Amino acid sequence: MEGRDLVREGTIERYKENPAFAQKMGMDAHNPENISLYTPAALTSAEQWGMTVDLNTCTGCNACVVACQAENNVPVVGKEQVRKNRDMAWIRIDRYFAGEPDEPEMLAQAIMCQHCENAPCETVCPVNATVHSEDGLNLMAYNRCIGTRYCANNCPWKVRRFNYFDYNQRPLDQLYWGPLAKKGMADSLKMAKNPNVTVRMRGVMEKCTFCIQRIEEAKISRLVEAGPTPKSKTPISAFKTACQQACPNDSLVFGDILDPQSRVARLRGSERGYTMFDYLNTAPRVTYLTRIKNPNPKMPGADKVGAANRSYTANKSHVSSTPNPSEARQP
Amino acid sequence: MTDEQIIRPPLVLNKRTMGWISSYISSIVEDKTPTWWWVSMGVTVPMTLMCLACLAYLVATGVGVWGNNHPVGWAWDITNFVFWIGIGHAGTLISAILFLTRQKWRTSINRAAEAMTLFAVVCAGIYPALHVGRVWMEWFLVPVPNSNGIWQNFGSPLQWDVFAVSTYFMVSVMFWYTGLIPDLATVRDRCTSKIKKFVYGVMALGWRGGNRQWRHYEKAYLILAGLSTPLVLSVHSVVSFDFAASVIPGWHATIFPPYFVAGAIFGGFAMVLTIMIPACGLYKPLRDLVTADHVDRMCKVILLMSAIIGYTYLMELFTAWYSGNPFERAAFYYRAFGPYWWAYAAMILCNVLVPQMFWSKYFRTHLVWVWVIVQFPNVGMWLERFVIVATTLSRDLVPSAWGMFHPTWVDVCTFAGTFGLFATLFLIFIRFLPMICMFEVKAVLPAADPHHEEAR
Repeated sequence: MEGRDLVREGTIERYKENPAFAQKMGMDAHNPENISLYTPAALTSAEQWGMTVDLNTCTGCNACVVACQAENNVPVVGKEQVRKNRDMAWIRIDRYFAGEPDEPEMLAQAIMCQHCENAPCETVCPVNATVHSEDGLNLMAYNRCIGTRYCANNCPWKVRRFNYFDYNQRPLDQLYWGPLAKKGMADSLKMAKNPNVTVRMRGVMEKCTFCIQRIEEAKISRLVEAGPTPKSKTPISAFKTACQQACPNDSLVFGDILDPQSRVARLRGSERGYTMFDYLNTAPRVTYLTRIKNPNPKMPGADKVGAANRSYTANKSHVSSTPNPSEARQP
Repeated sequence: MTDEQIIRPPLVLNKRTMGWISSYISSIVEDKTPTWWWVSMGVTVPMTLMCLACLAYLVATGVGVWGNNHPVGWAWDITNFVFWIGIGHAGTLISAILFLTRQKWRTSINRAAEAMTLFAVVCAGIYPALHVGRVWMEWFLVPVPNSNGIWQNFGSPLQWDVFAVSTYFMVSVMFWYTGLIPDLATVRDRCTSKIKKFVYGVMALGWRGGNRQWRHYEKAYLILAGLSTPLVLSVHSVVSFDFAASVIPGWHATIFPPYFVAGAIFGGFAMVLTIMIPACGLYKPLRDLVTADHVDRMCKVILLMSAIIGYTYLMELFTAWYSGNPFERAAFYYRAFGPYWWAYAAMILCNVLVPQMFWSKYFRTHLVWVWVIVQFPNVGMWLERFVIVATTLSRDLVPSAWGMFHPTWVDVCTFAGTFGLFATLFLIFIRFLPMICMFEVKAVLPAADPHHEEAR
């Protein structure tokens, strides 16, 4: 993790001492309060979507990744392109290792578009292809996107995915043939696509939409239920995003953060909750819940459990700055 | 104040006359096409075609033919864009700022430097125009009414780029062409063939050299110089906003605008010397117009700019350390010691260390040495942009998303091809247009000064 406190964890003792310890970890311990020069457009919708990721229960099984791929028509790019760092996954599991190299502890963290309220991707798009909706979603207008890739560069989470080739129209072994490659999609592949989700062409950017097709479906069925002139507010029927639906441990929770009854709203208020890169003031809609470990003190190496964040283990107020690749490793 | 007057060295050597200047500069255009010109074109035209072929392949196939990938969304494309647009700064600086500050030595180099500016901006323009995923939808960048009812995002630095670069190109073309008109008329008047007379005649826009025309010309030139001067500073500032206005550590820095402008002048002057020295080698009498004194002054500008960017490199490191921000510190740590350490080290060598040789007058006045030394800024400025664009993206905030950039053959051939395009345009320029501004050089002759002897 390079001493960056992206994944936060601690022991039960630490939690008992201060349940909100993770909110003041690393840089967040001493950052001044964020001030914005701009007044962002008001988020006027009655529902505001958000998600929480519980690092306590996430095992890094990748079921969410597969579910998302299937739900959202995420193209398969082939191993050659994956090796070139051109995979298209909208959600990924980041793995970090802590502790001793011969007996490492693994930390898994699901990363998807954080639907930042002050999204850095939106401000840099020259053609307004990525914009914000009233219900707090960071939208991609595929047919407006010209593919400058500036949004992806300016994303601190690096979750935006660019269609470097026409993955849906050309055979994967002929990607470099250009117009000489066979064009078109096999009928069997066409049938495998989700009809509610756009199939993207080459040259456009894409990323997690919080399963906007499911959100819209729920909203439309509410309209149907409420009739043309609703007298009172009809609640939106329950639905899940694809990743949430696939998660065996309920680590991913999605919903309306304004509804105090919703699970996501309660989890967001948890003292374990923290958002990444708070100093950038992007106001992400994804909240991570700190991993709390409770090792048996008699277990060998128990003192090394729950100690991935160097700022805590070294008992310093903030992270030492010079990155030392030997202490924490990337996957 | 004293009555003593500084006696400046003559700007034109060997007591060349007005007549000689007209006939020699025009003869370059009028004489039979030299063999070396055909040989050079034989190299540069295929290179240009290679560039065009690579671009056609890129547009037909997808941006994936380049090495760009997921952390590194911009790599050689934007590196080359900033590299070329930087080179395109010297011309306007020499023409506009040195004109307004009454630096008379600019007269013999401004025409070629301006032409170089235009050709460099042409090469630069290729990249932002064609690096996007859907080139055919690029008109979305232009604020025209459309059925989608979507307006541009005027908060995006890329949108500013569109306006900054196109404005710069248009004003530079006007400035260059306005300065060409009296000389085109000279060439027209000397032409013997009917076709040439007609073509140069049309291009000279009916210039007769009357008093009134000169008055208008001088006014227009002054106004255009005034318009261009802020552009010299604004274009590269706006280009730097592409990075400075982002949130990525290593890009998000307030020092970027002056840093980029200094780098652009540095690289631009190096490129002017890179092409002017061989041109003077091919046309030896030009050495009376572009003298060792000119080269000396340009080398001094390069030395000054080298000092400014050297300061900036140090200041960037200091700021990263002083900020206490671990992400900023890591970005600069990896710049210097990460997997692209070689690019950073070579950049320091080329941009800061080697130009220090210009402290010595010997290296500033011996043309072969100058030519060799200015190749280092040429390379170094490309590396600087590569370091800023690609190495920053390769290791930013989330370590899990780190990744290296590897150029493909298409990256390399496209970039090499832009040099072919640049050289082809320049060869066409020196063959068909007077490459030295004849009437301005005549104005700095001692003979043009009515108070010549009296002033002493």
